Amino acid sequence: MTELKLDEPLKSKYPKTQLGITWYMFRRHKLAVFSLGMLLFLFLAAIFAEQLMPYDPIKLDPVYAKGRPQPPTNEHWFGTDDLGRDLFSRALSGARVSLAVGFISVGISTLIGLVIGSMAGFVGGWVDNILMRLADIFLSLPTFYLIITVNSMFKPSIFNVMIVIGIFGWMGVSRLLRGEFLHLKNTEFITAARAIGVPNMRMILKHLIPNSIAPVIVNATMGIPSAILLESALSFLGLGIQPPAASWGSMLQDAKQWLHFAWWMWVIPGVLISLTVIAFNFVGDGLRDALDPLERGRG
Amino acid sequence: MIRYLIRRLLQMIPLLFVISLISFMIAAFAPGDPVYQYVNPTKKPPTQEELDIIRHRYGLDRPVHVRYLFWLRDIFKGDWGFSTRSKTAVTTEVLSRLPNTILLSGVSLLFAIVVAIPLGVLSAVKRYSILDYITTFIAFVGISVPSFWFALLIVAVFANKLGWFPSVGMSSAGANLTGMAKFFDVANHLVLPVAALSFSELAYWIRYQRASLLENLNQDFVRTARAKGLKENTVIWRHAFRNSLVTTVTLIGLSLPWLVNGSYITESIFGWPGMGRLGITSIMSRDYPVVMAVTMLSALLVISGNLLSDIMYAIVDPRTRFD
Repeated sequence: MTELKLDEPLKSKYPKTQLGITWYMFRRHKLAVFSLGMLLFLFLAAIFAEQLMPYDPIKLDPVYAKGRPQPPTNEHWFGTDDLGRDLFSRALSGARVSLAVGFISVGISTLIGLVIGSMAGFVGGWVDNILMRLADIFLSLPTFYLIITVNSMFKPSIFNVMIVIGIFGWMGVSRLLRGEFLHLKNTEFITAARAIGVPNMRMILKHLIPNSIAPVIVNATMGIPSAILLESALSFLGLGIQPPAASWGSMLQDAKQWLHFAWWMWVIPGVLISLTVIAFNFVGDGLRDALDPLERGRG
Repeated sequence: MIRYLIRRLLQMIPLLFVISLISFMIAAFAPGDPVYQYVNPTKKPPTQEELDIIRHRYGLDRPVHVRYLFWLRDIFKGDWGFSTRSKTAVTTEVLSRLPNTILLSGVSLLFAIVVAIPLGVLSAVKRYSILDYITTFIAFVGISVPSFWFALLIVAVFANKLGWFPSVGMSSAGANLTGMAKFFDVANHLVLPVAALSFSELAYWIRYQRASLLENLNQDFVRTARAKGLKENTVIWRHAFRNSLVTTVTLIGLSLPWLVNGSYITESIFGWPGMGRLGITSIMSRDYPVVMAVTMLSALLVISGNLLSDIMYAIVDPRTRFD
């Protein structure tokens, strides 16, 4: 019989830090873990794109191409386009663009959403009213069309794409955060914090936001694939990245005229976009389960 | 109900006003001198005086807010100005495209509803069956595949490889068809764009219909209905399904904006002569009068979609109160 020693902490496999618990819960979602692995792989590929590229992604090789796209070979894994550019190298630099757009534009919209949402939720009253009406207006704007408009007016560039996608995407975050704030404001620990005179800014940054960040993180993770899809749609229309640089969307645009026989030109970028989008969605799913305290009891 | 409707309709006015203001400002502060929209680029470049004359004629020498007010005044008179690209009235231009877009979006919407709801119900009722797995898989593909890529895919397969359907335009070029022949010709041209436009929406709706029906099937009232000895079909369709529609119907209303957005890309790919393509071409050629008109129409559609979804919500769920 083993004796339970009270002065020794219980040895449990259950982790103790917040991060540890989240990871412990996240691991149970097998598809999410697999997707996370895939995304890490993609990240590494994007970071080391320059080292991995077998060819210069914008270097033309008309002699090799002979005026039409060339199918995949041992030298050109993803084939080449009609100008003889290596599509594997272009896909790598496209990965960089897609991930950058996903993260930066969602970063922008999350930041805007955090500021607006916490202002609306914390101050309340007419400030809340105005900010939420603003969110309503933005929600009823024909966003995609406005993004195209704004983007075509300023010189199309990938930075404009990121900024514009960010500016038109904050409404969800701000509503989520506002809701959380309204709920938290009535809890005891906030009343206690107020009673001991915690200043407003500190209250928002140290007490309210950390306690309401979980749905925001999930929302941001799910927002990344939408931003990636938007970027590829814009580039597909010729309003995103400008030639000769490549993104997955612009690769699809290049492929449009070769649909009938160069399958590798459009199948590969499309599959890459889809896989990335699915992976982010699964990771978001896993995070939602992992961060939800109601789920945690069930081990 | 009527009072609620009136209030909601009145609320649309300031909303549309703000939207028009935002889009007008975006257009006004875009880099580049708008006067060049009115200059024929193939001719000899105009002198400064000529530019000033044109600027004055189109009121471009006035400050932005004055221009906006003039634009607004003209709108109330039903005058949307002239397209700088085609020199025809914006209203003519837009009205000639609108029916085509309504046809494409309407058929896509109907198709998505007719396919998604039964599939969602089936995969909820026959949960974890092969059919459920297949629909779940299709739904996941639909959600994650970019719609324009799906469009390219079906063009490559069904138009280029198999040659079953045409991939461009709304009717066969040169053929002067009438009556039923014309109907079938247009229907044939509709197949691929409709498939492309409805695919991703369809996927979402299947998921939501499945989830909401499953949720309802676990409710007490369904157990009661079963305990009363009602037939399983009655339980599912009369009791659980009716309640599950609440979620789906809201979703359908809220996806009207997507139909509007999606039409930009779909119409561009399939060369469909609709509003979306008009919008894209006018953006590309900086044809601001048309851009404004298309933006306002899209906004109107988006807002009406929200309203419609609230109204339908009230119809399916009689507990809804209007305050």
